[in-house]
Amino acid sequence: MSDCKFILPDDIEVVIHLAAKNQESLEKEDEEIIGFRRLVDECNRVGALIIYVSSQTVLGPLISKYAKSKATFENIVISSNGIVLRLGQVYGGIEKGLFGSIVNFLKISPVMPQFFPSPQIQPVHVDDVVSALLFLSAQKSTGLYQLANPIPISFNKFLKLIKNHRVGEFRIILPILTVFLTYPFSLFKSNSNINNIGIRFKTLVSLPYMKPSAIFIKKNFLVRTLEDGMSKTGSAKLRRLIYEGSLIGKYLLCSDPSIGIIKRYVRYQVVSNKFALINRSYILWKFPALLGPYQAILSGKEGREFRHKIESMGAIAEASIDTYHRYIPDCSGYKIILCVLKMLLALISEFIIKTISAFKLLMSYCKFGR
Amino acid sequence: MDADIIVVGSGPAGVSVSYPLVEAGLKVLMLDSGRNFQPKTSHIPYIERRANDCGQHKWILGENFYSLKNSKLASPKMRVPNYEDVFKLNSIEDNLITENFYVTTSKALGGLSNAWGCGVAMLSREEFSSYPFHYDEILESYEAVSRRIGISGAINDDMSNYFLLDQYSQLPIALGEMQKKIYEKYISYKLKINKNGMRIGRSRVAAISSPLSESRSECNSCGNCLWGCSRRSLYSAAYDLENLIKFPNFRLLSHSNVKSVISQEKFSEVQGVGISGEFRYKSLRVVLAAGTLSSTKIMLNSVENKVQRVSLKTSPSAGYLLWLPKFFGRSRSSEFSLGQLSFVQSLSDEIGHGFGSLFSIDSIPVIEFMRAIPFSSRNGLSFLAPLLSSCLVGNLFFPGKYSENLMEFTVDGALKIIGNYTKNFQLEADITEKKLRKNFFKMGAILLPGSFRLGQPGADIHYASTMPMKKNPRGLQVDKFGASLQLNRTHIVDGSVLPELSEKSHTLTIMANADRIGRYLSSNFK
Repeated sequence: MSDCKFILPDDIEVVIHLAAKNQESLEKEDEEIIGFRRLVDECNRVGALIIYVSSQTVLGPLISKYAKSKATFENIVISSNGIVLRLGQVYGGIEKGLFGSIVNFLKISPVMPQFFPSPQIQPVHVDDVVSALLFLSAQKSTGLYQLANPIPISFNKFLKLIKNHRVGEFRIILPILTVFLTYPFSLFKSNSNINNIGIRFKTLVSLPYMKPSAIFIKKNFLVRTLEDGMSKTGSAKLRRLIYEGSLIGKYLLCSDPSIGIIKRYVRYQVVSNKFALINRSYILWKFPALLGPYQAILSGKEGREFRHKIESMGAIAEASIDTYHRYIPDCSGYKIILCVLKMLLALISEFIIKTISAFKLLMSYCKFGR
Repeated sequence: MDADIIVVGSGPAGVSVSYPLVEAGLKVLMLDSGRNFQPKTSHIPYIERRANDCGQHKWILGENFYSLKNSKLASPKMRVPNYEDVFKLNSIEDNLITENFYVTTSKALGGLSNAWGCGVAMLSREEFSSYPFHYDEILESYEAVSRRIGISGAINDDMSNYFLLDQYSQLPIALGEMQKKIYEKYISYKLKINKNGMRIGRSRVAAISSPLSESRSECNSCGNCLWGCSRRSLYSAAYDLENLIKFPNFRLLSHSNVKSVISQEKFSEVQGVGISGEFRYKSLRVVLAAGTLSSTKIMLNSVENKVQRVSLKTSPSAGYLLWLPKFFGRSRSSEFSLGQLSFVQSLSDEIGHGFGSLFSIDSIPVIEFMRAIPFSSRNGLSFLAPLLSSCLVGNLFFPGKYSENLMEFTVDGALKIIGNYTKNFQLEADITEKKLRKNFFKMGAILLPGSFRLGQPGADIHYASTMPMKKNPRGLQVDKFGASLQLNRTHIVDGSVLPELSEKSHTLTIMANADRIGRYLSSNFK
């Protein structure tokens, strides 16, 4: 590296440095620094802005070479009037980097570790990182910036979300005491990979809180939910619509709707530019009939929208051979008794729903009276 | 000169006025804003398609969810994706504002007749008292039009003297089992039901029970009436257009939206916008047959003495559900889904009548009824689905005298329609509902509580009488040949010239009147 002639073209405006030293066994650290200095000097020569992507780890004890190099490079960039962008735990998108390692581990492992006490992390979605980098490139306001979810979440929850959204299969939970995990790895100094994991885990456990820069909050770079972020597209809109369609389908049809019906429901919501109104709920999933009272007590715009959603699913489900007998039931012969029973049950159920909504109405009158 | 006569509009009135003109050898140019309409149809009975067709969502919902996106339209047939072009209103393009009024226009050649209820009736001599010409002058036209379009329902029953069409009609299409039972009960309790002001008989409809031509076959009760008839048993003006364009002296230009007519000293000029921009066509005479709303708008745009406000008549309508307990548990079947039985019910003044028909619901989606009942969706479906196979749906039209709609130009040039019923209408509707409930009960049918619903003004789509024919016309009124006082060489032949709007289906009268004026113009053409 020291012998290389490194020249930047004159018309470069911004250089974004995303390279990271993530192998603890790598040597020639000084050469890395020399190389980086040359890059910064070249940026200064051509008048290009350098944006250095750093990490939350620099805030804690600098126990890993990764953290140490990040801290060193940060100083170089700041003194050269560049931009440093510190990131929380980057996740989402293509399964690469540390996020990719965790996903791949959970895909092949029959167990899912849960740590006690759980480390707290501040994730940030890869697309939000890109948005922030583009924003900083355009704004060219030098200094130090921090980008991470303002509310830390437990690492255990992060793992669960990955399992739910990226793996989608059952995993046996393996409880692990964190203290037992951080030290034994240092025994494997000869094996750099294992040692590497140990040091990384130590870093993770000792991460201090990182306050995101106000400008990123103002620019709405951090509004994405983790559920959205875990989706490969960076948005869980479709996933939520699939869930909503399945749930409304179950509610209306008293059985699981076919994939075709759900697909059409989702497509209709997408072409109508509608988002899911129903959040994941174990109770609703187990007892979809509860959507009846929910429908009855919802009022205003949300109520109208929800009713239209159910009506849409009603029409979509009807236009399918799978539901023929739900919409055109066979009540001939002895089956007439079943039909009458079902009708009676519907009447009783409706009476209960109407009572609940009348009670809710009464309560709102009482509130108004007060 | 582009033509001897320009006819604006290709619906029932347009084709009816064109036939005598074309047959007399006059050069006719027809302009219509619509495009060619080719419905996708199937010969497989509805129930079979529902049970076996994996792609049924395409024709029930539409590839782009047309049906769902238009869930607020007034009736189920307007939501059928096949008719997307037939019931098309572009409020901005048409520069239309409505207030408590349901409005639809058509952007298909043949107009709204591509998806109508096929209800037909002749007006009686007494009902013609408000017309500025003698009843006998239109009889020939009634016959010509009836024979051309094909009508079924001829049978000697209590409605024969109401429809007055049996002499030109084919035999009725087969009755479904539930309506058959209702009719049998009617016969059994006829005296009592008649005493309570109701008469029932077979519907007379523009749907054929015997082949009419090579291209139109008899109804086979496949139940696809609502979704598109593959046998062309139901009349559409589009079929007449197919015949008209075979005449060398007839020319049809689609996508031609007429805006106004200018009357020059020796000719008239029709102006509008087509695919390739603005157009102007010259002719010796102009006939407006674009439908009441469009023709009125063209006239208001064209006359020099701007009339700010005209009255618009509609037939207030209602819909309801009848339950026949005897048929609970019945399996759905494919049958003719337009009016099978029709009735008249005397109103409280004992002079006027309400007119209605009964329809099978076997080919109407259940979701259409779920919208109307005050149940949560799951319970509504569980309750309605078994019940509906033993139900019929009915409609009821009231005379136009109960409507008080207004059309006016706003300051910025838009056409505004304000809908209203007369003050006493709600009471009249309530009394009539009670009468119907009582009479249907005698026939073994229960009018389901809460199901009787009045339509919004205009939802009947019987728009009429904005420029009525009068003996001594004034303002926008026209003479007995539809000739405008204010616009020379211009005749109006659609619903806008009807002096009165009764409860009866008015399409046949519009067509017969257009035919009558067409005959007059062809024999007195200058």
